[in-house]
Amino acid sequence: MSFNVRVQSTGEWIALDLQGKIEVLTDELENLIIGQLEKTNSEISLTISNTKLIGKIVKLNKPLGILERVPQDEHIEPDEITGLQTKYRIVGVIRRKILFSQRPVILT
Amino acid sequence: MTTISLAENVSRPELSFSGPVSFSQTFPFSAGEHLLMEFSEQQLANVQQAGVLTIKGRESEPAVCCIQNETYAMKRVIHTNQFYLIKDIEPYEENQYNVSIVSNTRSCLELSHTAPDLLQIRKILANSTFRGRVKRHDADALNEISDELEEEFVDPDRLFTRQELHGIIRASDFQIDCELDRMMVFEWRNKLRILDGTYQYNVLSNILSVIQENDLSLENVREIQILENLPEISPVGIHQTLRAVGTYNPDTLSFTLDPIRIALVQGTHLLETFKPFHPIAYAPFMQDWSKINPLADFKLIQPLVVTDGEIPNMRMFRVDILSLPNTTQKRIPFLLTVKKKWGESELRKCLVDLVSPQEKLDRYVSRFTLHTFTPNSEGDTNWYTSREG
Repeated sequence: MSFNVRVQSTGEWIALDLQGKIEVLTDELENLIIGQLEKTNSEISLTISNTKLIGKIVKLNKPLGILERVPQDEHIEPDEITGLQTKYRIVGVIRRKILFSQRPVILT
Repeated sequence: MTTISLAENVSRPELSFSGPVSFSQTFPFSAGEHLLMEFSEQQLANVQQAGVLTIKGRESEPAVCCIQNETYAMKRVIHTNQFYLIKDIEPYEENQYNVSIVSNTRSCLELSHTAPDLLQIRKILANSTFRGRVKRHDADALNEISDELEEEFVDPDRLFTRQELHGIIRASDFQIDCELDRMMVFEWRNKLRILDGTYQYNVLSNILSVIQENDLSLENVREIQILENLPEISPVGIHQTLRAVGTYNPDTLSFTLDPIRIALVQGTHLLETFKPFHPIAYAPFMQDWSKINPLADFKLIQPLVVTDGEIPNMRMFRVDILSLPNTTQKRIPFLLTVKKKWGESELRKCLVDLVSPQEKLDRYVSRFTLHTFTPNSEGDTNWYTSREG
C-alpha cells in the first residue's frame, strides 16, 4: 500500500468555498459557462444564472497541498532506491480561498 | 499589457478582475481524483526540498505520511462545504480570466506528529535471527570454511531486505534506518539479520575468554586474532558481536570494546534467562566489567524492562515485545496482568506505538485502571492501578 507522492508544482491555486453544490442539468458540457466571477476593490461575487453569491477572500491558516492522482495509463518509473510507485503528485498549493457564506441574492 | 496571474490578482485587494467560470474538460470529476493535504509552512518547505513525500501502511493499518525524516499521522476531515479548485492562469485580456474549475472535494487530510511504529521492526525481524553454524561432527567439514557452512537453514522467504522493510514499517526511512542501527541489525546476503540473543551472549563469552587468556586490552582487540582463536565460530557472528559491543578503529584495524555495552549484552541475556530477578544480584556478576550503577542502567538494556515493587523487594523483568497485543483495548489489560501498578512513563513506553506523546493516557486506560497522584524519586507522579485490585 505504500506509495510516493512526487512534487510536480507548488504554484498557487485558488479555491471556491461554497456551502452548496453546483449542479449541471445538461449533457452539453463543452465550453459551458456556468457563471461569472467578479472582483472589485471591495467585493467579490459569483453570479450563476439569476443568483448572485457575495464572497470574501480568506487567507488560509495553513496552506493546502493539492494531490492529483496519476492516470492509470501514465507510466512513471518506480523509485530507484525504494521501488515505490508514484500514485499521486502535488500539482499546486492553495493559500487563499474565496468563501461564499452569505445567502444568495436573487437578481431580477 | 502587464500579466498578473489569477492567484496574484486575488491576493491583491487593490486589483479587480472578471471572467466566465466553466468546468474543465474532466467534468464530471471522479472521486479521489484530487486530494487536499494541509501542511504547515515548514512541512511544505520540507516537501518542496525533498521533492517527494511517502504514504506508508498496510491494508489493515491507518496510513502515515513521511516527509523527509519525520512521520505524521493522517486524519481525513470531511467538511460540509464544497471546495472547487481553480488552477492559476494568466489573463486573456487585462484583468480578464477564463476561470476553469478543475475539481471539487469536501475533505482534507490533516497531518499531526506521531511516534513512528518502530516496535513492528522487532516483530517482523523475529524470524531473521542469526545463530551461527550448525554444530558439525565431521572434522573435515570444519576445514571447509565457506559461506555455505555459515548457519543453519533459515527460510529465505521469511527474511526481508532493507527496501522491503522501508515499505512495510509506518515510519520514515531515516527513522527506520536509525532504529536498525540501534538494534545492531546487519545485512547478510542482502537480507536483514539480527544476532540471536543467546548466540550473541555465547560468542561474547568466548571472545572475552580469549581476551583474558591472552591478556589483551579491551581498547585494542584485533578481529583477526579472535578469528584465529575461535575457528569454530562463524566469522559473521564474531564480527557482528564485536560491532555490538565496540567501535572499529580503521587506523589500528582493531575494535575498542565498551564495558557498558558488554554489560548490556550480558544483562539482556540475564533478563531473558532469569525472570524475574532481583537487580542487586546482578551487580557482582558485572563487577569485573563495569563500574556503572546496575540499577540505573537496566533501563538501557531494552525498551521494555519493567520494575515492580520497591527496594529491597524490587523485581525486574522484561516484557516480550512480540507478545504485545496490537490495540490499546487488549494491550492495557495484558500489561495489567504483567504487574498491577504502573507509573506513567513506564506505561507510555509499552504503548509508544499506539499512543502519541501528546495524547493524555487517561483516555485509553481509565476504563481499566484507577488513577492516583504520588511523586517518586524518578519524577513519576501519575500512577495507574488495576481496578481489579
